[in-house]
Amino acid sequence: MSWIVPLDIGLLMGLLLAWAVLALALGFRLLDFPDLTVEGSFPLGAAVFAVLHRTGVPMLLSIPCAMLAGGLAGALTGFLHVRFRLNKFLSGIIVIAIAYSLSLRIMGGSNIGLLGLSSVFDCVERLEESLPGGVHLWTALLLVGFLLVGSTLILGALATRTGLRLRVAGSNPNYARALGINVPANLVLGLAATNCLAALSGVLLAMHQGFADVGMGQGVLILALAAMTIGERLLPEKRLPFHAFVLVAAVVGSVAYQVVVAYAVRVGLAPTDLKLATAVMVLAVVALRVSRDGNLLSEVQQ
Amino acid sequence: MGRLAKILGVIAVLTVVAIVVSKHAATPRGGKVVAIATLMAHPALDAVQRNLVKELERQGFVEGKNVRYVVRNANGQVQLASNIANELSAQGSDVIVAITTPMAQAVAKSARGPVVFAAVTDPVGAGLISSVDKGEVLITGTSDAWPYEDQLKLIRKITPAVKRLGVLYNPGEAASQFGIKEIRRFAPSLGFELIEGAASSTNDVYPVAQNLVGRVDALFLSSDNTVIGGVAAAVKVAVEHRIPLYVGDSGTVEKGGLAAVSVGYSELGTETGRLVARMLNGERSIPAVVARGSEVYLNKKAAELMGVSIPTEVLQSATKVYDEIAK
Repeated sequence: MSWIVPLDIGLLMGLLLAWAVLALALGFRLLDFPDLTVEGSFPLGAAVFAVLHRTGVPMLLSIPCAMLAGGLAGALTGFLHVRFRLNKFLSGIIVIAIAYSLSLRIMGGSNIGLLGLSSVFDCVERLEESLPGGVHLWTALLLVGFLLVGSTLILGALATRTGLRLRVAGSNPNYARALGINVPANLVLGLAATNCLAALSGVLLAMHQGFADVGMGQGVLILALAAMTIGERLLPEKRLPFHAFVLVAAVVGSVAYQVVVAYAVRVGLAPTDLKLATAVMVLAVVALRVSRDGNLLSEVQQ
Repeated sequence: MGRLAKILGVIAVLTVVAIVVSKHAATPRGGKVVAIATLMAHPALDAVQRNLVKELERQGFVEGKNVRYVVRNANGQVQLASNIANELSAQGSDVIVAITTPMAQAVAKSARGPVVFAAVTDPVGAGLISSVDKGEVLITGTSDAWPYEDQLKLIRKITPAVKRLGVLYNPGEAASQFGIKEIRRFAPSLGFELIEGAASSTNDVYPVAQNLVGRVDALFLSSDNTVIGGVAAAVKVAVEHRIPLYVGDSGTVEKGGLAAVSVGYSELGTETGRLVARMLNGERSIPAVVARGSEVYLNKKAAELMGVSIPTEVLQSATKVYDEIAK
């Protein structure tokens, strides 16, 4: 049964990090904004949650607070871009830097241990103790449940008037302006919403691994970008409405990417080769479809 | 559906590889499995791992004969810690050794069996154990809290005229957060005025050190991987401006630090090995061990270049004196 372990871990990690991938993908595809802030809002969410949780604030309150903190980081990125006409990448980078210092300040250190504190996974983890080989079946099911609820809410929100305005502002700013839609305001709102999701991802990971660390955001951006690319390459895009496709692709891509990482860890690759192995895997998946879609660059530029 | 077939194909190949690898690495009959998880490769951490294996061999646990090691390294990526912790917990190892703070926390969260942590500066603050004196069920380990008081005393002994002490540290590391608090605690009573320089990456070490020149009488590097990684830059600044540069471990003295009182990371590994052996022998509740380093390391060449003459009594008390700066 040992071969199932990497699949199990990949599924688990993929579902935990899917929210961060969603944040990046929604910003990228619906708002046309390559949002680097994810790397900052992810640890910021974990930091806010860890501090509140440790001081005894109930989970139902500390999780929304953490998401709000991430949302504020996203709003700041949007604000810097629309108000000061700062380059999209630069606004993201600036906010990552701010979020790093802010997380350190909030935590009063670089790391907070959450071992022994309650988490949303408590009851499912108890169920799993009887499962053979430490399979995280129930945790994965719970996470799938979270994602289903979350996706339904997101799809519902995108179908409201506000959601429609947001999508128009993102996909065709000139047309949106002609309709009298406030494009900058919608961009700020959209980035706030996506970064709430990134912060939630940070919270879930912190709860699962038992600590929040200021360094835990490092590499999330690259991971999310890779996962998004894989997901979009794996799924047939014509069968779903575009925003539903973006959602599903983010989750599928996140899981696929983490399964690959788990296999690489399982095989016991030397640390020097681990990153190369994951890079090769991403390239392999991308190559599966490059021949059909033509130039990859044209896709990125769209 | 061609794409689906390809995906399934890739997964099938990966599965076969995983099965082959897990068969290949089968445990010797009746042997024990020791899993080692570390966050990154680093001379001090490697020394811990090497000496841990050596000590276990002395205790009768010989690799390939009655014990098998499974080693995983997160390559510095904190989010990978949880992945590795889950993987090692699923392997059914007899003891999991977790090196560094985040790795120890992730392993403590997912493991069902005994855990021994190593090189965790502040295990109580990290939430791993509730106190260092009492034994806790299934978890113990070694802490590498640096002897900051002794280090500051050594600075006083070698250069009695130093008043303003510049400390370089990375606020993003748990070890140096602990370190800077300790330094702040002991500095005033020894007559030092602290001037702190924060370097959040190895590249920042040079400009931050350069910035401290003229405002400090001596430089001190705290116990973090970032600053130690940039030690060459700090040595360059110290030599150019003839300022004494004090450090905290023997490896950094060899690379041009003037002097250090050091935790021996090799001894830390040996100590960890002893704890692992006790866990393997069935003990379940063992108090954690805090390493109290007291060895003095000096570098004569660095002293000469930084314009410092080391008192003979300090020279005599040194465990090791380096005559050259290692490249």
